[in-house]
Amino acid sequence: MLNSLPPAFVFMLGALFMAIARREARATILLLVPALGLLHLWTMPDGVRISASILDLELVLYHQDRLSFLFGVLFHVAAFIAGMFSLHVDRPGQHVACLLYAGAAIGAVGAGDLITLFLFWEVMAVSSAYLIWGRQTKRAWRAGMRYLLWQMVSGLVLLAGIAVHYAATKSIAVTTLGLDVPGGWLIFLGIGTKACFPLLHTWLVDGYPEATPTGAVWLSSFTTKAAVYAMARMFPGTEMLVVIGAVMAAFPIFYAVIENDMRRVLGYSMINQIGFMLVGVGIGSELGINGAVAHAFNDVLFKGLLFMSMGAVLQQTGRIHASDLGGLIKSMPWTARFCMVGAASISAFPLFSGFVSKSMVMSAATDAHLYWVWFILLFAAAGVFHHAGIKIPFFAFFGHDAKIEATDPPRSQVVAMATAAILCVLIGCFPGLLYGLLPFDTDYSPYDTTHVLTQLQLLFFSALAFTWLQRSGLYPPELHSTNLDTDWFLRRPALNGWGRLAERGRGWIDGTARGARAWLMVSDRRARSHSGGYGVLTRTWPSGAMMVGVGVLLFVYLVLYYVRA
Amino acid sequence: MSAQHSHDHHGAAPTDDDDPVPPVVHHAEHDFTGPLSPGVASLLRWFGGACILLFVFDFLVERKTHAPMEQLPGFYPVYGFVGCVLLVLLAKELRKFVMRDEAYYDKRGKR
Repeated sequence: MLNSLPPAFVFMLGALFMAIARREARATILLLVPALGLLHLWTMPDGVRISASILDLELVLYHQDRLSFLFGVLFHVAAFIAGMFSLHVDRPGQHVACLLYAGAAIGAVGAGDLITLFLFWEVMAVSSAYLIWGRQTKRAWRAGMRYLLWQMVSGLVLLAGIAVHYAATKSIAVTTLGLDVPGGWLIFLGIGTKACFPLLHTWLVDGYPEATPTGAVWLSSFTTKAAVYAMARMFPGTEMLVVIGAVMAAFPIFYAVIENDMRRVLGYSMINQIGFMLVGVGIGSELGINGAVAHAFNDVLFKGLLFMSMGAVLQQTGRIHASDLGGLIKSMPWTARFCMVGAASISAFPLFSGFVSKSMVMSAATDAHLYWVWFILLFAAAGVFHHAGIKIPFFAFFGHDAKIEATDPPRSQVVAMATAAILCVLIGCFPGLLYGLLPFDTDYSPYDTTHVLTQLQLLFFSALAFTWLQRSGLYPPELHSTNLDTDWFLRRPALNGWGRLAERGRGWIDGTARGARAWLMVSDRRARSHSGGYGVLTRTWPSGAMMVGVGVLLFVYLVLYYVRA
Repeated sequence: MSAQHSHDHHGAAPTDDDDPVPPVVHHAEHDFTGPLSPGVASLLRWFGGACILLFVFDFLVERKTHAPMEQLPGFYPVYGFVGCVLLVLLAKELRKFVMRDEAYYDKRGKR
């Protein structure tokens, strides 16, 4: 019986319970749902398929293989950690959105057909927008709207692709598609938007930094990783992904260096990490896919950890800009420590999780003789350390002491950060734990002398560059600013166009409103004069008049009936 | 800027005054070119020593290489350093093109 319950539905049921639960039960539900869900997932037999049929279509609500199982496990773990981090928040609506979002992501990676995938993806889009709106500022409201618009448009492109594909092939199976199948390009672009393809990436760096401190942790875990899963499932070995991934790994780090908002820095660094994953998927070798998937797994943990630590900083100090922060190590020591574990992991320091997965993608690139890609990825790897590994902890917790009065966040949040940090170190020290879950069997070993030495050289000299640039005053100062990105082409005309329209329309709107108000007052006065005991509108009619009325109505109906016949 | 800013608001323009951000008291000037405290200075000395050691190791350890550039002695340290310096200097140039004031998207008109 339980084996026919798709894992996503555990979260949907949980969201339902959350919506009606008493306050005392909410924390329990938030933690119990991912825990029970993981148990449920783990006990499912291998290769299980749960299907339902609607309108001649057989929908596969859940199918399990090693790839979907790994992402399923990952999303349950991420939901548990993020749930722990959100435990103290007393807003059931936000909790419901979180559970729906996580559940839909689990559904999307378990979907065996494109329709189910699309439906879960739309649930993800809508529920996740609430995590941005939850900030309850005008700015967040607008950012959430833009975010939702991007998600909806990419969803429609995906749907169009599915429709074209189905019309031509009569198949909706989620399987290796490639670009050459009918509708392949549309599906590729639809998923690509969610994976932050260059030029289509701005929804992430626009939306995520405006989310609530806890909401950003949820957001960072699911949408883009589900997109990486979909790419690995449907477009492995697509050469274009190598180019796209290399661009994504390189260009955001320039923005990350000059960005002041710490969570936006993390957003840019996230695009950079997805770049690594897409390169792995694009290479398409067993090592490449394994590397991409392993890196997605690790990224959820260390990026979640970094988003948690910066969320904690925002929540405890009310500030998030590098220029306003500094010296928090004294007042928020635990947050600082866990942040540094996350920073070491994303920078791929030996013994931390990034090291054991990033190197797989790099090795896959050299094995495929894609040396130019390897060259760019190496630059990106050094750059990540520069902006995410050093810049974030340095400006928040060290650097200039901004003398901010703050404390570490509530204990549940510290525990959430500790859990993620422990997992980062555990995977870094015992990569076998993760490698055993990967889609292809592997005997890859990241810990050899060359690899450890070269990685340390790269990172230490990258840090040396940071030190030298800071000491010589060449490092650009952190400034409150807006850095234009490609969404300028949409937002600027929209802003100007709407503003002009509002200005031109203002006279007309004001005049009409005044006229309407006057008309309402006059009609109100007239209506009043006809009310009361003898007024036309409120006088008592004899019941006989009603009978006559009904009789006339029936007669007209009869006549019309004959006319029609 | 703030005086001009208030003129630009046409009622509909969103402001951040509903954001619960306390006013920034210490606007930190992040300048690290000055003299160092003894603790930081000794940390930097250790760090410099580690860098030299890692560079020297390049010539002591037999590296397994895959890419042609990798075979150059000192490739990783040099690439790490030069790459990051270039990254920062180019990003600094990028600012000239993309940097606008913070309320850029809250205001109308060509700017």
